[in-house]
Amino acid sequence: MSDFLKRLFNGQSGQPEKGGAQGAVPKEAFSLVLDFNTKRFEDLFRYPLNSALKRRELRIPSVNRRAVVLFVDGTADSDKIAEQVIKPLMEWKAGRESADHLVDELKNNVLTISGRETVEDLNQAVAKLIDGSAVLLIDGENQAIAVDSAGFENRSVAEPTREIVIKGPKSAFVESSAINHSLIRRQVKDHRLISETMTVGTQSPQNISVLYLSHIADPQLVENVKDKISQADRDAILTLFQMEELLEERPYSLFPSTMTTERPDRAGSFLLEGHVVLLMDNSPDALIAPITFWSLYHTAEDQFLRWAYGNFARLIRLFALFFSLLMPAIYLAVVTFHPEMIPTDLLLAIAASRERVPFPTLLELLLLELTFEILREAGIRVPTPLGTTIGIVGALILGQAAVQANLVSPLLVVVIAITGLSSFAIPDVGLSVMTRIIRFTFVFAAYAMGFIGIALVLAVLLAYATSIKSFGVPFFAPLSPHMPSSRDLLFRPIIRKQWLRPLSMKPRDAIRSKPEGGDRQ
Amino acid sequence: MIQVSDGKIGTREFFSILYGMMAIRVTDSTPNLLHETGLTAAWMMPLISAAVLFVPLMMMLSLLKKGDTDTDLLQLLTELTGSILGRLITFLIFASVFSSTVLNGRSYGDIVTVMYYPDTALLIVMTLLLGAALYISHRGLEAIGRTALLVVPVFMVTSVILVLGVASQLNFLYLFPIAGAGGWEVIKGGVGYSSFFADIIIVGVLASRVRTFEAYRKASIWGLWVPAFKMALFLAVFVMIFDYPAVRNIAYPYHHLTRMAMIGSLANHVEAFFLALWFIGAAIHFATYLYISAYLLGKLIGYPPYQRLLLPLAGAAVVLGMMPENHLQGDHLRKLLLQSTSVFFLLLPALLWGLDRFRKKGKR
Amino acid sequence: MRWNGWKLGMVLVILLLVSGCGERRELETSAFVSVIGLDKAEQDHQVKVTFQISNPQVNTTQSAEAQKEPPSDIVTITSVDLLSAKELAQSSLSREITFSHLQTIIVGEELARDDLFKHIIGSAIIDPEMRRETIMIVSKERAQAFIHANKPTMETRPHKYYQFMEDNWRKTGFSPVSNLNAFFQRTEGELFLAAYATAERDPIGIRHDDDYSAGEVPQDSGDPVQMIGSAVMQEGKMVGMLNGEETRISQLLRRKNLIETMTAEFPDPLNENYQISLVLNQSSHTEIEVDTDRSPVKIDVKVPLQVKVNSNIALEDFTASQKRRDALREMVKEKMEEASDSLIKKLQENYTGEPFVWYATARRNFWTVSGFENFEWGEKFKEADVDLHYEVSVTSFGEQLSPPAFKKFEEDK
Repeated sequence: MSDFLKRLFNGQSGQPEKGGAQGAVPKEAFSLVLDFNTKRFEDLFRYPLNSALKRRELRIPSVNRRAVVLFVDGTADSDKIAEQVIKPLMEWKAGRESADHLVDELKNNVLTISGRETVEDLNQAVAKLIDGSAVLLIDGENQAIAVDSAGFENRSVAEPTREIVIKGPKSAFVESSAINHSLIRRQVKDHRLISETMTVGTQSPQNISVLYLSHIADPQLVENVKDKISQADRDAILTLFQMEELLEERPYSLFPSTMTTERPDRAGSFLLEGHVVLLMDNSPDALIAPITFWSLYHTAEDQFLRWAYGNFARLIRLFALFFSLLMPAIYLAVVTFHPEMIPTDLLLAIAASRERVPFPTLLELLLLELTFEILREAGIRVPTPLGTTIGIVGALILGQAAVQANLVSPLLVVVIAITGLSSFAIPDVGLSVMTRIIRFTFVFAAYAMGFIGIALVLAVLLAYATSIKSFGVPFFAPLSPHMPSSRDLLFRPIIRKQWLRPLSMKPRDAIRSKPEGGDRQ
Repeated sequence: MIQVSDGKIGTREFFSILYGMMAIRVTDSTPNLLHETGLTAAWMMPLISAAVLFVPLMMMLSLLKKGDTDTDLLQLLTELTGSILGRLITFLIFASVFSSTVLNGRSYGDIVTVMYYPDTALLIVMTLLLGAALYISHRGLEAIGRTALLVVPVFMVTSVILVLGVASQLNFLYLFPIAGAGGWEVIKGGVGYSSFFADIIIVGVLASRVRTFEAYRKASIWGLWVPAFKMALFLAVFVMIFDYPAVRNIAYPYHHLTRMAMIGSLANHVEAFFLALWFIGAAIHFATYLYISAYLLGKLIGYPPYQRLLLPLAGAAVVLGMMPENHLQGDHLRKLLLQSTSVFFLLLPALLWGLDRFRKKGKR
Repeated sequence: MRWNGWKLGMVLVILLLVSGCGERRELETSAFVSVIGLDKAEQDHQVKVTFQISNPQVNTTQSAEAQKEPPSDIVTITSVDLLSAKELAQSSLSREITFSHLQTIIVGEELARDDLFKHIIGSAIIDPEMRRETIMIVSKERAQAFIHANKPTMETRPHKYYQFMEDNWRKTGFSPVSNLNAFFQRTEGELFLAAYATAERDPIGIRHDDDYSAGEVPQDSGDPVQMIGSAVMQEGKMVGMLNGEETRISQLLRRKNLIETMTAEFPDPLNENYQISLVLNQSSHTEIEVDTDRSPVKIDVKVPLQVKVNSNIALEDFTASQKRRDALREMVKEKMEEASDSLIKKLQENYTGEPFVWYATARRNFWTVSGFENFEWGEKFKEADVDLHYEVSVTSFGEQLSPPAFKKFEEDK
C-alpha cells in the first residue's frame, strides 16, 4: 500500500539540494607563516563565532620563535597541555643545531607528553584536534606537532534517569555545561559543530550555548532560535527549563514545541538531523528545538535495537498512546451509548457488577481516574523508600477495597489500570502529561455524545495538531504535510535506508550517505 | 530548498482533500439514488460519471497549465468570460457548493438520528458536526489537507477491512442481470449523476493553492478515479450482500453493512467503531465545503479576509439544514440539485475551453 | 476575536453537557432481550410478543451472583406490533427494554402461516435496533410455550444456548442458517428456509437416519427442544415444511454450501442387513448451469461430494479391492441423486420457487432486471428439467487399515 502510494505521489519529492558552502576540510599543506596557518584553523572552526577552538600563543624563549597551541574545548585536557606541552617549551634550553630541525627536536626531546607526531597538512591536523589532541604550530615551520592530550570530561557522569535504555550508552548530562559540551563532542566529532555562547538574564547573567552543525542546520532556523533567546528579557533565568518556556511560541498550548533530553547520544542524533541544541549551566538536560511529534514518540533505543525489535517497541508505544488517550472515553461511550459492541457475556457481567454501584459511570470513572492521578503525584513526592509502598498500597488495597465497597465496578479498575500503564509507556514527559490532560476532554466528549463526541474531538485535535508549528516546522512533518524523508516515522526503516535527512527541517545538506551504500560524501 | 510553510499544499494533501470530499458519499444516501436508477448495475454508474467528467477535467487542466502557477478557475473565469458573467458563474458555483453543504449536513444529521441516536435532537448533531467542521476550516486549507492526509490512509485501510469483514456473506451472482435497468438507462443515470464527482471541477478554484501544477494534475486525476472506484466497489458490495430488490429499501446501506461486518469471530458488532471513523471523515468533508464556500463568497463580494465568513456560513448551514421536514424532502432536493448541477459542471470547462480557443484565433 | 471564540466554545460545551443526549443509558437500567417470540393473538391483527430478558445477576460474575433468581425473565404482551409491545412491556418491567443484544426471533407456526406475519416482521425491521443478522426460527407450538419450555441444563443463559445451537447447524446441516437478511433477500417468490424447532415430543418410531422433523427424533430425557428440519417460507409466509434430510440436501444444492461437514447413513452396498455411516463434505462449490432459452427451462447441477468412512457397522472391508470401493461410491451417488430428485419433485409440485438460490444463477442469462422479472422464474421452475449429478469421491477409510477381524471367526465357526 505504502509503496503504491509512494509511486502515486512521487512527483513532489524533488532532488534534495546538496550541501552548503562548507565542505570537508581541504587537504592542504601548511604554510611557513604562523599567522596564516592560525587563520585557516580559525576559519574552519568559525572562530570567534564558535567558542570551541581555544588558542594559546607563546614565544619559545630559547629559539625566539612565536608558536601557537590550539585545542578544542571539551575534548582536550587543558591541565595536561599546560603541564606537559607549554611548560617544557618555556623551560627548554636549546642547543645550537636544534634550530635546523626544530620540529623533530621539539617532538623528540622537549615535549614530555607521551603521544606526539608530526602532521603535514590541515586535514590531518583538524582530525587530530577533534579527537582531543592539541596542535602546536611554530612560526617558520610548515609542519605541526599534534600531541595527544585527549581528555574528554567524563568525571562523575551519571546514568540517565528518565530516558533509560537496556541497550546503548548509559551516560547522561550533568549540571555542568562544560561536561555536557564534552559529552556532545564525544558523540559528534565534526569541526563544523558550532557552539555559540549567548548571555541571558539582565541582573544575573548566565551563559547559554547554542549548538548546531553549520553544514546541516538551516541558518534561518539558527537565527530564529538566537533571536528568541535574545528576546528573553528577564532579570534572571536560572535553568534551561525556564528558558524552554520563554522560547515556546504557544505557552498556553498543551502541545510542546521544544523538548529536553538527558542523553548526549540523542542530542547528537538531533544535531545530525539539523536541529539546534541548547545547553546551560545548572541544567542536566539539553534543550532541542524545533521538534515534531516524532521526536516525542521515538526513543533512543529504537535505533539501537535491531530493526524488528525496535519497531515492535514502537508499535507497542503507538498502542499505549491510543490507550492512554482514548481508553476511558471508549469505555464510557461503549457502556453508556453502544452496549451492542460488548460481547453479551461481558455485557451481562458488567451490568451485574454495576447494579450495586450507586454512581453513574462517568462519576465512577472520574473518581478512579482522579485517584490514580493523585497516586502518581504522591509517588513522585514521597521519599524514595516509601515510594514503592505507596504504589502497592494505592494500587492493590485501594482498588480492591473500592470494588468491595461497591464504589466502582471491577472492570473499570482494569480499564483505568491499563490506561495508567499506557501513559507510563509514553517516552516523553511532555507527551505523557499532554495525553493525560486531553484524556479528560475525551471522557467528557464521550459522556456527551458517545463515539460521535470522541470522533469530533479527535478530528478537531488532529486539525489543531497538524496546523501548529515549532520554529516553522509543522508538528507532524514530514508525514503530514508530506515531505521527502527517510520515513523514520511511526516505524523506522533499516539504517542503510535512512540516507535522507527529513526535508521538513530544511537541512542544508539533506543526504546522509549515498542511497545504496557506496562512497560517503 | 523546499519552503515548509508557504500556505500551499502538496500532492498528497490535495488528494486526501479530494478523497474526503467525494469518497465519503458512499456512506450517505447517494447509493440509494444510484440503486434506484441503475438497479443491479448501479456499480457501473460512478465509473461512467467519472469517465464523463474526465473530459471536462482534462480541458480545465489544459487551461490551467497555460497560465502561470498562480492561475485558478476564478481567474480563468474573469479573464475569459469577463467580469460580470464571471461573477455570475462564481455565484452559481458558490450556490451549488453551499447548498450541497446544507443538504448534506442535514443528510448526515439524519443518518445519525435515524441509525444510531434516535433520541437525540437533530439540531445538536448538526451543530456539533458543523461546529467541528468550522474549527477545522478555520485553521486553514493547510490544516484541512494535513488532517485529511493523516486520516485518509486509515479510511482506505478500514474500507478494505470492512469489505473483507463481510466477504463471507457476499454472493457475486446477485450482481446479475448485468445491465440492471438496461444499458441506456445506466449510462443516462451515470451522466445525470456525474455531479457526484463535480467537486473535481469545483476545486479548480483552489488550484493556485497547490504547490505546483504537476501536483495539482496528478492529485486531481487520482482524486477523481480513486473515489469513483471506491463508490463502484461499495455499490457492488451492497447489492451482493442485500440482494436486489431488498437493497432498494435500505435507507443507508453503508451503515447496515457496518452492522453486518464481523472482524473474525471475536468482534461482530463493530459499527460504533466505523461510526467514529465516518464522523471524523464527515467533519473533514464539511470543513472543506465550508472553506470553499467562504472562499468563493469572499471573492464574490470582494472581501479578502474570507475566513471571517466561515462562522456565519456555518450558522446559516445549520439553520437552513433544519428546514426540511424529514430526510426524504432533503433527499428530493438533493436529487434535484445533483441533476441540475451535472449539466453545469460538465459544460463549464467546455465553455471556458471554447472561449480560450476563440480568443486565440481572434488574436491571430 | 480569539477570546470571543473561546467563550462561545465554552458556552456551547457547557450547554451540551447540560442538555446532553437522550441516548445515554447506564447498563444496569437496560433490560437486554436475547430472544423474542411472536405469536398470533386471539383477536385479528394482534400479536403476542414474548420477550426473554437475560438476568445479569445469574451466572455472569461471582461478585454479583444472585443465587435464587431465574436466569431470565419472560414477559408476554399482546399488541399490534413489536414496537408498541416493547413500550407496553415497560408497564411491568422496571428496566428499559433494548434489542441491542437480540439474537433470535422465534415465530409460532400458527403466526408464520398467517398473512399477518409479513406485516409484523416487515415493520419490525424498520426499527434501527433490529439487526439483519438476527436468526429466525419457526416453532411448531406457540413461541410463548416454546420459550417457556426451553430450559437447557448446560447453557442457563439463553443467548449462549442459541449461539451454540446456531454454530451446530453449520456442522450438521439439520437446520438452515436462516437470518433476517436472507429472509428479506427472498421476498419476491423465492423460497426461504427457516429453522424449524419444537419443544413437544412426537415420536413416530425409528426412521431412516435423518428423515425426522422437529419433535420426531427418538430421544429420552435431556432438553425437550429439538431443532431439525426447516419451515418453507414464500413471500413472507410459511407454506410448508422440509424434514432433516431434505433440509440437508437443499443446502448441498446451493452454489455455496453453508454446511462444513455432515454425517449421513446409507445402506451398506456389500451387506444389505446393515447401514453404513459416512461423513460428507464438499471440497468445491456446487456447479449450477441454467438454460433459460429452452422451454421448459433446463437446469444442470453438479454436486461434488467427498466421503469419509468413519464407521462401518457391517465390518465389511472396503480397503480390500477397488471394486468394493466403487460399489460404495455408486451407492452414495445413487442414493443422493434419488433423494435430491424426490426433493425437487416435491418442491415443483407444491411450490412456485426454489430455496437453492438458483434464481441468482438464472439472472446471469438476462440483460436487464425487468427482463428477468417478466420471465417469472417461479413458474418456470415448476416445469423445469433438473438434471442432477453427484460427483462422489471417497477420501478416507478411517484410522484402521481394515475392520477388526471378528467376522472371520464367525465364518470359521
